[in-house]
Amino acid sequence: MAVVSDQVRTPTAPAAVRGAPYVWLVPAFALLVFVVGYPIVENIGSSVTTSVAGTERFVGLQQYGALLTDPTFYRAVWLTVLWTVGVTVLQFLLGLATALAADRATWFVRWVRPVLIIPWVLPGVVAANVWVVFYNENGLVNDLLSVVGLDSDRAWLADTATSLPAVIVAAAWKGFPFYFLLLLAGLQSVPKETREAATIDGAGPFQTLTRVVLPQMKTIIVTSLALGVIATSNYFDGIYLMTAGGPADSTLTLPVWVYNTAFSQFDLAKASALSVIILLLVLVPVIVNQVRRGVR
Amino acid sequence: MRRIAAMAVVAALALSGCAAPATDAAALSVWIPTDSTGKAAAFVDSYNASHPGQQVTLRQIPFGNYDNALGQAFSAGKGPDVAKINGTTFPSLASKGYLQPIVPIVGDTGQLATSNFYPQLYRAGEYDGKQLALPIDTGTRVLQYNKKLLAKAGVAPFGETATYPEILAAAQKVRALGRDYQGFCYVGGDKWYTVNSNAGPFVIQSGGTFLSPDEKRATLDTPQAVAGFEFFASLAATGNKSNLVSTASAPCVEAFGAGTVGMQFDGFWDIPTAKQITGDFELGQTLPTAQTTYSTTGGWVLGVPNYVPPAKFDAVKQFVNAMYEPADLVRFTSLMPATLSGRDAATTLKAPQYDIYWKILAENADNPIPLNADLIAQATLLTSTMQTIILGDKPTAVALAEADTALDATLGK
Amino acid sequence: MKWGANVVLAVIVLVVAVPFAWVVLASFRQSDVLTGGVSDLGFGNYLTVLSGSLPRDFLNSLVACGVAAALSVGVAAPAAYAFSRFRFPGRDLLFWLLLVVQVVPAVSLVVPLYKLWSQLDLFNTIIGLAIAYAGLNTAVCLLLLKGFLDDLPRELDEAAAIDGCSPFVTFRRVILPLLAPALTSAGIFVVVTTWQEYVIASSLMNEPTAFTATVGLQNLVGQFSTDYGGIMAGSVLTALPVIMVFAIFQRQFVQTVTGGLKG
Repeated sequence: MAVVSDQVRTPTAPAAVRGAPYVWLVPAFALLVFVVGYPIVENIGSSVTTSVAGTERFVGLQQYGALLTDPTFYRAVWLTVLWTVGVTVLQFLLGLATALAADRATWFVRWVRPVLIIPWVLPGVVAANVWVVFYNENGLVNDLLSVVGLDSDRAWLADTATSLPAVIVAAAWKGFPFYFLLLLAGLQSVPKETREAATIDGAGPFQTLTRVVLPQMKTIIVTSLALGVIATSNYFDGIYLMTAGGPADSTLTLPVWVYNTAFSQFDLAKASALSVIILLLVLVPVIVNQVRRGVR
Repeated sequence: MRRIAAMAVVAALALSGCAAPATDAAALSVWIPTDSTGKAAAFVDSYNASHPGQQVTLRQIPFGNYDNALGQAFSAGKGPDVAKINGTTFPSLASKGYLQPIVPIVGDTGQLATSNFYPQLYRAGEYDGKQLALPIDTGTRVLQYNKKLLAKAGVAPFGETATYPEILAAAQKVRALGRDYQGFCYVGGDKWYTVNSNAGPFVIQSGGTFLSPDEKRATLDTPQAVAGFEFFASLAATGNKSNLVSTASAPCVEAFGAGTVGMQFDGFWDIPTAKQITGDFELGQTLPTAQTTYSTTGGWVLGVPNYVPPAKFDAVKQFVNAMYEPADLVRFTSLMPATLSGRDAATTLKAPQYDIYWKILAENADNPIPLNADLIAQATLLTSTMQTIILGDKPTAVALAEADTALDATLGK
Repeated sequence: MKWGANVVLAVIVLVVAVPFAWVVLASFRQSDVLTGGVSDLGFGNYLTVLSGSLPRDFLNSLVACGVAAALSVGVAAPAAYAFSRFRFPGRDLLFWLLLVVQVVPAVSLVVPLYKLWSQLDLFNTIIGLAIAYAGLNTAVCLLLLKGFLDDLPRELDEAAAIDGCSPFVTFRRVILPLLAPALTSAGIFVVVTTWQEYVIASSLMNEPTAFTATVGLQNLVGQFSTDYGGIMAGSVLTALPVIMVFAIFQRQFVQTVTGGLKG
């Protein structure tokens, strides 16, 4: 390898090769079109047709109209928002706390780190079954509450007042290691000297964190939140296995509704239309972000 | 890279519709929910051996995933040639036009003669005036109770029948033993359970219905329906609310066998097995006295999807006729066979503890099973309503009036 | 401060470990799996699942996840290089499309995929499942690898270019070796997520010989009874390999993610 020459870099232009390297992209995009693109198009197609007695008939935007006038739809949107925000906030805070506590190279930390990712790698089927038992009238949650003097025989999942918070907590438990890993990586990329400098300047640990460390981790925080929000809003296994959307539809988020519609009621046209609407809803923030970037 | 390129080409072919499936008139694909006993697979093996030139492939799919798998296969137009179909799922699939009339294919002679079937079960395979499926089996439900636990709670064993007040009083006494005990255990999460094994039977037994006979109008706000829901809700209050969102009956069955559940309203298949039973359990069975009509079933039917070509009909006919031979039909079910001749072959169900289930089946030979095309969507609504009532979020009459309006709206479309 | 951190960490470890410990304990219970105590413990559930279909299911999972990881990382690497190093018309649009792909709910892909897979005879094949998994993970891999590449000094490429290397040769000789740890980490990420995937696996496979570990586990939930002992034992066995892989690769994984997300 030759000695790196400064002359090659021009200070103004980005050091990128100009050209049309589409051939590099073909494998990835072929796979994406095959596995994701085609199904999306197919969904749009089946959302505007209906199958009666085995023959397909074009019905236009009828499904969309029916959905948009259905109060269940708006309720499901609202529940999805609550669910997404709740899970994301809990996971982020738990992940951040864990990352801060585990950002050291002691034997204790090294030893417990693999333990900390257990929830993330535990099959969702299992995690759901476990939490169902914990949330029972005589499950672990109530046992722990009575230890601290709060006697309770609440059926956490089977109560419209607590079912959504209960599935949110279970999901936060399952998914927080994702944030833990990303935020730990972020913390470790912040130079030690920066923090030490802040401490010398008289900043307390909390101030150091909020004024110095977190701003430096902005990119990783934003990216992990974006990935997390997308994954959470689309996630349904946990809710489905714990409550199937009940009781009294109190945990019926959009993806659970899609699943019920397609696979319990076999109403594929309605499920397809719902999928398309979800896609559009989740796309809004992406587009807004893109437009903002474009403006800048 | 080369693999991807090849894949893209294949994809393009598929999208343009060039990949037409080859049809082999003698090859049949038969789908059933997983049969852990292996009897169905043994039958298919011996069938293939004794029918050279035919090739039947048995595909077993986990019960929990079975309805989904069938729905997917039927909507994609590619899947089984002959399929076992959940009785409650059947009307939904039939209404989509996924099934073809079965009698012209398999005939109605020998074991398949109409007179060999329980009439109410045969009618459950009919949709829109056409016989689109043949019943395979059924399972009636009774009130199962734990004699030892009831004795501990100071309740004498029930006789052949028990009145509603007796049942409720017993359940409440068991609950009074402490929070580890449930008077009455039930599951409510899985949609059609509402119709078949929870509030449904009590609504019907109270003289109520979900729909008018012409299925044009909801009848949830009638005094009889309200009474049925109300009774069930008070019975349910003696059990753990957690079960409301349970999707499987296993938690009830396990707790029943462990001696912490007073009673459950269920089929014989949910009697705890030896592995689940502790010393604190002794099975008792009785019928609620209001047992005037069918106490419903989780039975299965057999159907032929609309994409199966006439070239295969002969193979289908041979296989189905062989399958309905009494000794072989028994191998396709762990429930009660739907044919009279099959009943005689079901030797394991001859023990006295099963008499009560056969009795209900016989007594209700003329009572139709309440099934209709939107059953699953309705059951979803009913499940949600029942949960509201049991949780006490709304008074029974109010919740049912709202559900009645919502159901009417779907029927009007 | 240090003590405080240790206490916080200890509490979190408890919160994490107690449910898992509960699963492990339940997996040894031979009766009353969900409600029992510690009176009837043994290896019965493990013997049952290991003598059943679980070993075969594991092998299926291993093949599906392994092929998926190799395939998604394999197609993502050159694309990530192109996005990181080239300016070309449509670059922003294509990158935007990648983000779109990321937000598609997997639930909504199930039915169309089923139709396509059965037309192509990919249905019920491990390779078919692996292709679906690879496609669903390509975008994430691409984003991770692009971030890592953006951090690699461009002087490397430029030096190679001066030496007369074509971009392809540069990629193969210079970039790929440096990218190896990131490729491994992205692969591990794919394995971890696909190893526990259930919805797609249960939709694209219904032949018992093609079941993956999670589908096999769910298979223990029957119409008439649920083998909770088997589910618990199977869960422990399913989780262990991933935990072990992770314990081994944790440092590398964290490093890649750091690089990948800075971009």
